[in-house]
Amino acid sequence: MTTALTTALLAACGTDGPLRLPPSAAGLISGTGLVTPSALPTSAAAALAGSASVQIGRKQVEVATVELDPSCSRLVTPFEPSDNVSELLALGATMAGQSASDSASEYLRNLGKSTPVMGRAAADLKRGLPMSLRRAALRMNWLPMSLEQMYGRRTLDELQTGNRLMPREGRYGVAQYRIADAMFAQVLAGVKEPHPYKFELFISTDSSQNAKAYAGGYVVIDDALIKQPELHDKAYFALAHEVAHVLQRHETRALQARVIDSLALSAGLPELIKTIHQAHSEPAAVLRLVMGGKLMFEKHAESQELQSDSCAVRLLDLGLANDQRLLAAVQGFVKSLPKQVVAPAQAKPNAIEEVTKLADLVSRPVDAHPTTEARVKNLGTMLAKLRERPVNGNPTVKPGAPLSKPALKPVPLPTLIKPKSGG
Amino acid sequence: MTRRFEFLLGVAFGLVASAPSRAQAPAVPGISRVSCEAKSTVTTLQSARFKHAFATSPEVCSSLNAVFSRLFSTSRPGGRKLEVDKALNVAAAEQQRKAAHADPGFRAELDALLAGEIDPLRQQFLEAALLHDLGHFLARDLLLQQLVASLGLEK
Repeated sequence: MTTALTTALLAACGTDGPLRLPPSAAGLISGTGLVTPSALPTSAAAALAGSASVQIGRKQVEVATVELDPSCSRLVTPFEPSDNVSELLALGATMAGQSASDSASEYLRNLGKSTPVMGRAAADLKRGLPMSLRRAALRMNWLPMSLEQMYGRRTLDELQTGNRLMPREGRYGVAQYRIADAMFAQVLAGVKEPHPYKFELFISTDSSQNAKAYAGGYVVIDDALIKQPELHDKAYFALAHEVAHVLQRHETRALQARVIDSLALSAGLPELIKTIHQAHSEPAAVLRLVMGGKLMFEKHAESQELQSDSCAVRLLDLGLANDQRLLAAVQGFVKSLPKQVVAPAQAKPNAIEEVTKLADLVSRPVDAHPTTEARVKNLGTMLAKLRERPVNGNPTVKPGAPLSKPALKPVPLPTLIKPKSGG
Repeated sequence: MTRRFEFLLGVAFGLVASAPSRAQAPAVPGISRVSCEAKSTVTTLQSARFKHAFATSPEVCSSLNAVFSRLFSTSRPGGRKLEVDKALNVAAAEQQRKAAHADPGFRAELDALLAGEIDPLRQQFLEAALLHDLGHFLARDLLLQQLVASLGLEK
């Protein structure tokens, strides 16, 4: 039994990595080829660029768990259905310019001309949306705000029931909340765009140095980040990162993407059943399928984290309005990231190591975080982008002048460490 | 009856006794603090001081509930975390506990709370609650970690 299982697991392990996955499932997401994503409105571009699929038997199933505007060109994601219709119309106009023969672009171009009233446009869209646009629409926001708030509130209630949030009164809470509220207000000052949220901040009684965001506008920060002044730089970054999660509706997007993907994947049910029936003859196919879905959700979570890091930089740039403080906040966060481990050069991993890797893939949580290297690289890119920002909106930079060199030099990677021998 | 079972029973009775029979005004919208009232069930507890803590000090009572919840709850509320949680920094936690014990105010409060309490597990539990109440969360988690090990709880 064990031998058969090991053989099956090993059969699923390829030479390029632990598994031979469909490229899209492994995170190598390709665009639809319809238009150049960078030329599109943000969320529409992201929706198209984010087309991904999972191979179920011989069937390719489109999925929605993809993200999205990595450099956070817009801090607040569209949140009303009417905004999404505008996005679709803008998408149609852009597509028309690039691919006149495409039926979808033709459709939208006509729609845009003939429907100055949004309500009618929405009705037309419902009646006959071409498949390429329907795919894009599936990736936009559609979960109502009221439901999002209810969803977040329910999760927050779990924390409150477990006494994991510090009360605002009492001998300890008053002073802590005074500091935290002031910091939070500075971060929120960076949000210049309209949004539907009434943010609420809570201090958690966890002993870690973390922060969390919940759908609906609830942000929770660990006490240590408020209590210890030497951690305040990191606290600013943490608050901005979590506010970004809310404004980008990440939790909600993840929820709706999973709903959509459940439906999309059910379309491949016959193929799925066939694949499962082949489990005895082709166990690797089943494993590839399962792991493909798992990795897809992980990649989605990682891309959302990177996007929130990017948004945090933009938020702090506007909220703190001070290059030195912005850089200190980014560095405060980078300092706390886990050290990079340099893997020793190794020959082809043996069977036990491969199985261990696979077991890790199965058991690790879906809400994955990017590697330290990926986060630092992304933050470096964002800081570099700030040099190109418009002068208006940044009081610390004179017209035409680059950012001060000491303020925005590249963020250093945390020290690399080598694993202990045998570890 | 094993020691572990006795401990769990004692804590359970304590929590039954401290069930929210009287709602207090919430400090933060949505947050309800548990008020403590002595009930007949509390008499099943062996320790008079333990009973006293539940019966007379809402803050300690609330902290006891918080510590109890951390000790026995296995649920992990969702949300988007900034980073992956790290393991408890034991050295920093020990340092924090040491500093708390060096504080005469803390020492006096702890002594009053533990007076007459002979069960080391209960002593740890009560100290964890006091540490929680004062915001020494690292030290609290250190004691909880030790309690988890002592009680053989799976976390």
